[in-house]
Order: sequence, then structure tokens, then C-alpha cells
Amino acid sequence: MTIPIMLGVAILVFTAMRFIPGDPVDVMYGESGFITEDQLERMRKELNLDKPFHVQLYLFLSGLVRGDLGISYTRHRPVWDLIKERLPATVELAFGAFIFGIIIAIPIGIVSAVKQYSTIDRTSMAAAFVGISIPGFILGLMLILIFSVTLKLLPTAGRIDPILGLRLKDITGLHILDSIITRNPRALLDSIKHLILPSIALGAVLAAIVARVLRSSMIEVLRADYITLARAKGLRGFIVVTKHALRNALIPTVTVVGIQIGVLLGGNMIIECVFAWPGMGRLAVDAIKESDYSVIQGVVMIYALTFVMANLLVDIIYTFLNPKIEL
Amino acid sequence: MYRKSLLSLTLVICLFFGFAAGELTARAAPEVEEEKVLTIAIHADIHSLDPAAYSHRMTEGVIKTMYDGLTGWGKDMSIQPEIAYEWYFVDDLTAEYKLRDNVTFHNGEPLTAEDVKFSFERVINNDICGAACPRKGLTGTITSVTCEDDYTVRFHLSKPWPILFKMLSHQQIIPKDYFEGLDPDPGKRCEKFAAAPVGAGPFKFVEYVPGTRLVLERYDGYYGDFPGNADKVVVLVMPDEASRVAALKAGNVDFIPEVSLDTALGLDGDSDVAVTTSVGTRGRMVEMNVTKPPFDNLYVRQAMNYCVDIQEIIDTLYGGRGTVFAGPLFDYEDSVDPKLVPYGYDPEKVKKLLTEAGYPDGFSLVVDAVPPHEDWATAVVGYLRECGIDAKLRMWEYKVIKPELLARNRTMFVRDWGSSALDPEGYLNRKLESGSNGNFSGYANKYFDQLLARGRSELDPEKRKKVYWEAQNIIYNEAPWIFGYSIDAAALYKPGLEGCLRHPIDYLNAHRITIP
Repeated sequence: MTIPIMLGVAILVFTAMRFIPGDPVDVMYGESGFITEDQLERMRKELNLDKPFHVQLYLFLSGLVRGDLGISYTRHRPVWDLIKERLPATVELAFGAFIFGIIIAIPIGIVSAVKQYSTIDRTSMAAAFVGISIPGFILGLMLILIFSVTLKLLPTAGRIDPILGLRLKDITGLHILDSIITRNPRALLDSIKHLILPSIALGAVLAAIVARVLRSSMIEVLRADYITLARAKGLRGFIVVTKHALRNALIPTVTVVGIQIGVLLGGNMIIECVFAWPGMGRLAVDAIKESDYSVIQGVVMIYALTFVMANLLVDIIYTFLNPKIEL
Repeated sequence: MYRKSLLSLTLVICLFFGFAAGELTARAAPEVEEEKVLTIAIHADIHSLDPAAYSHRMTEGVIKTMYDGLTGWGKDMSIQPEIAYEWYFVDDLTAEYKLRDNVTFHNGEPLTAEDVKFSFERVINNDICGAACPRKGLTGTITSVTCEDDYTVRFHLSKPWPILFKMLSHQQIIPKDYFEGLDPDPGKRCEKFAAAPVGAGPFKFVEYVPGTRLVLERYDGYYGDFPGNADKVVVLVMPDEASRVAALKAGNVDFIPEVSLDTALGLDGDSDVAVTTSVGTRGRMVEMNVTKPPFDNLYVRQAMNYCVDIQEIIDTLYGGRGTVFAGPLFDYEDSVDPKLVPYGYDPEKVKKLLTEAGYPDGFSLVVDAVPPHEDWATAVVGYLRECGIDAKLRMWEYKVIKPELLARNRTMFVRDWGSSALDPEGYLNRKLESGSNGNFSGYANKYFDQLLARGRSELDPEKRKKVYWEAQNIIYNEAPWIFGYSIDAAALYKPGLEGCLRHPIDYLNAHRITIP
């Protein structure tokens, strides 16, 4: 299904971009008091905008098959190169947010289910409600204000101190991994420090959603007969909860986490802007501001691919959690 | 088994981070950076490090830190010498620049007339490694460049071009031999140059991480003044304004060269932040569609100018930090007619003019605007209602409304406009010349067009000034716009730094900044 979905997305995105009113070349360069119509015409030609829609679509799709996402209108560089530069930052942030979200959500979800209607449960669920409701940029700015401006504990923005960044050899593009590979503990600590606040801001929604879903599925599982049987056999409560209940309760949770991985990778535009995190979200925001249609198309394609792959991953994990499910 | 694996994994992660943190604490303290690092935060990524491959004002401001031009822009918008120390018109169609003989590029090569010729030919020939050059329009009527000797360059024009010296201040010089030696394939040289750029400016390139940072270090062989003391400059890309301000307050950033006036006014008095301002270079105006009722009537257009209190808008929304325009031009332009005065707020004249125009009870109107002009567009609508006009505001995305404006389907439009020449040319011709694609009012006047054509080629400054005075008077009287205003531009910096300024062309001027 992956290939037809991606093809559908490609056609949809391309068509949508062409339905936006206005001429992108005119929007980008036509404002200049000194641009000539000849120049605008030449740029349209270079970007294939002078060709009929179906020819443009054919050229776009044939380029896509070869892995060619086109050339950025504003930066005069291949779109794929721009995406490649930004992808590691987005992956690293998504990973940080994922770790934060899971570390927070799983204990809260379990405890809330086991101690249903207790103070812990009510407090946790209220916090989860706030976590879902609060916009990312507000939470981000609050974190910056508290931990960076007031307490001066963590940096406000970026991925690494620029001077440390100069000395860090770029191997994978993932700063934490590169710091470990090159045995650079200063860079490692600095990268982790830079990752903490954006990870919390991005991972808060994941933590809140996963905690709520896990709680409700745990409550359901804990009422099942086989749990009563396990308790009747005299198994310790901890064993019953972690070994018997959690594994089954994780199936709906994994579905939610799978969707959320897509959101973490593709829905991070605001957080990346607030924390000056140089990922794909920032690239997309810049491209939208500058009407750089080829970059927008490229980024949307990668986002779509991310969601498709996250869903595929969820299906694979299902089979691991419950061998009765087949791919 | 499963639980054991999970526990082991957790243990390994904890041990690893524990070790890393311990190691770091032990090592972090003794290393002290002795060099002075100036950290600057900008709002958007630069488009290219190749000075021929961008059309983006902020990119120009940033890369000027690495590149010098023949001339540059001073903070008072005057032309300042850089690589050239003298420039003049030899005749109507030839301009000559005399170059300093002590300028070297960052790679040590001396800068000669050949480098200047090469740098300009890339733009004039509209060919940057096979692609169109987005800066071609900035070279106007220049047809060729010749070297008279090693340090004299001539520009040959197809038609007289009075703003040549202003416009050439936007171009930067690169080393010909270095560029051509980057790759045997000319198509690959631009990309390679942008990855390892060499200029003749006060700082040389160290590293560029797209979307993140540009790192530069002081070039010891710089020929010009270097009053500052920064050894390194780090330019960070931070799109969110609140985050940039937070970074400055937290001490992570030294200088924010561009910030909204609202933010700057809000921080006035904050001991962690110093504010500096300069006059703005974008004019704000309300364009009226003169091709359709009611604005095809001169009295109605003039009434609109008396209806909106521009000074009050500046005072209320921008703390008085702005300038009201008397006519279409900025009051700091040397071509502005000093005799013109702003229309001023006069509700009585509005009533009289609307009655004479046949609209004693006003009319209905949708005022269109684009972000970020919602605040003052709302004020304009308020004034129109007070004048008895049933006005409503509609906000648009600019690229959506632009075709509508050019098709003359809209009635009144609120926005701003700027010109890199800081001259009537590039501004009046784009906004008011018949058929221009920035002329949203649909204004068309053959005599006015002729005046613009004369201004475009008149080399005598006094005669040119008179031409533009006449053109301004026509526009002032015919009032196709509600003449607007400009608001001051602001920058923020860490208190204690010296030399930080809000430059009108967004130059960072890092070599003039002293870090305590």
C-alpha cells in the first residue's frame, strides 16, 4: 500500500500547490523595484512554470521516481540536499520527545489505572489534560523563561554551542550520537542540555495522550478474568500488573504512539521555531513564508512517508506484542 | 526474561549518562575561551553565501560581514567608500571607480580590477552557473565592465542611470582566480564557492550550518577600519522573536539586529537589554482603486486623506516612533519636495469633500489588508467609520490577493513597500507607473510616467530633484493613496556592548562592535 499512498500524496500535494492563486516567481521576485519581465520569464522557464499542468506533473513525478525533488526557488539548491541537512535535527528532537513522553507516560498510566480515582490518578489526569490543551509554543516559552532566563540552567535555543559545534565532527548528523562516536563529552553534555527543553515541549502532548490511553486500557485489562485468575493464584500485584496486564494494555497504546511518532516528526514546526531547532519543520515554515513551492512539496512528501512508515512500524510491533496478529 | 532485559537496558543508559555527566563536570571547568566571540541572532536563514545568488535583504546584511563591495551603505543611508575610494561619471554612459591598491581577499590574493569586472559580469550576464541571476535587475542599464588598469574599472551603460552608485553599493566582490579554480566544470563552481566562500570583508568564513549558524573569524589582513574587538562572530538563526529576546536576556546572545518596534518599546527600561533604533525604510500606505467608484472621484480620495489621523496612529500604536509622509516619498530621501506638508486630520473637510463628490451619506467599503498590518488597518477602518463610511476590514494572504489587486477587483488596500535603492526610482515606478505590477491603485497618468522616465535618466542631481518634485506634487494632489508613514526600525543588544546599531540595509557591522 505504501507506493500507491505515496503516489496519491505526491499528486495531491502537487495539484494543491498549483491551485494556490498567484505566480510564485512574481511573489518571490516581482516585488523588487528593479526586476524585469524578461528575468521573471526566464525564472518561470527554469522552474518549468511555463509548461502546462500535466507536463509539470509528469516532470515532478518522473523526478520523484529518481529521488529528485527539484531545486529550491530561493536557495538555488536541490531540495533533497536541504532536507538531508535538516532531517537529523528533526529525528534527534523526535527521539528526545519520544523518550521524554514514554518515560513520563508509562508509569503515570499504570499507577493511575491501578490506583483509580486516587489523588495520584486525579492529579495525573489533570496534568495530562493540561498537557494536551496547552499549545506547544506557550509551553516552550514558559520553559525558556523558567529554565533559561530565570534559573540559567539550560540554553534557550539551538542544538549545540556554536564553538563546540565547530569542533564536533559531523558523522551521522545526530549530535548526541556523533559526540559518543568521537568521544567528545563536552559536546555530548551540551547537546543533551540543548535537547532537554524542546523535547519536553514537544513530548508533553505525547506523554499526556499515551498516559490517558494506557490508563483506560489498563483499567479494562485489570478487570479481565485472567487477571482475577492470576491474582487468585497468589501472584504478586507487581507481577500481575507488569507481566500480565501491561503487555495486553500496550496494544492500543502502541497504535497511539505510532501515530504520535508521525506527529513528532511532522508536527514540530512551532517547537522548532521557538527553540531555533534547525529541522525540517523550520525548513517548511521558511519555505511557506518564501513561497518556495518545490521545498514545500518535498517536505510534505517526507512527512507523508514518515506517517506511512510509522504505521508500518506499528503493525510490526503488534505481531511482537500479540503473536496471534499477522502482518 | 523480558523484564530482565528491560532492567539491564535501563541500567546501561543510566550508567552511560552518569559517566558522561561525571566526565563532563570534571573536564568542563578548566577550559576558558580567551577569544572574544560576538553572538548575533537573526530571524531567518540566509539564502546563499554566493553574493550573486540571492534576492533577500537580510542575506545581504549578513554576508556583508564577509564581503566588501566597491562602496557600501552608511548608517545615514549615504554611500560610503569600501574597495573603491573614488567614483564619478566620465560621461552620460560611463562611470569610473578607482580602487584601493592594498585590498586582499581572505585567501591572500590581491584584489584587482579583474576581480571587480568578473564579479559584476556574473550578474550582468544573468548567468550563475547556468541559472538566472536574481540580482540582475540591480545592475540596471550596465552593458559591460572594462578594466582601465589594475585599479580602475569602468561601467558602460546603454542609457544614463543616475542611481548607479547607489545600486552598485548592493553588490559584493569575489576573487576571480579562486572561483575559476574551484572546479573545471563551470556549472559546479557556484555550489563549491557557496560552500567555501572567500571575500575581502572584515571577517572570513569558518563554518555555515544551514538553518543554524554562520561562524566567521576576524581577517587580520583587512584593509579598512576595524574599530571593534570581536575575534569570532557567530550568527545564529532564531526565527521566533520571543525566543531571540529570551536568549538575549539569558546572556546567550549579544546582539539582535532586527526586532519589531512593539517588542523594542516593551523592553524599554529593562536593565538586561539595550535598545537602538533608526528610521524605517518601508513606507506604509493605503492604496485606493482609482479605476472604480467611489475612488475614481478625486474629492473622495482627498477626503480619505483628511479622514485618517496618521500621526495619532503612530502615537498610539508605535509610541510616536515614526514619520508621517507628505505625499508618496520618505522625508529623508534627497528627492522629496520640502514644501509638501501632510494632509492632516480634518473631519470638516471630509464632510465637505464627500458632499461635493456626491456622497453626503458616505458609502460602503471593504478595506483589504495583509499581515502584519492588521493593527493599523483596524485603526484606518475606525477612522473611516467616524467619517460616515460603512467600512469593514478583511485580512488576506498576500499571494492570494495580489492577482485580485492587479485585476482591479478590490477597492482599498493596506500594506507597505520598500526599495533597495532608497530613491524614488524603484519605488514610484513600481507603485504608480501605468501598468506596473506593484501599482495596486490602478493609477495611470501619461505625464507622470514621462516624468518618471526623465528622472530615471537625468544625471544632474538638481534637475533630477525638480523632476521628482513635480511628480510628487501630481501624486499629492491626485491622491491615489492615503499617504501613510514609516515606523522606526529597532535592534536590541546586551548593555555594555559598543557600536551596535540598527542599520537601514540590515548590515550587522560586526567589525564596529566592541565587546566588554
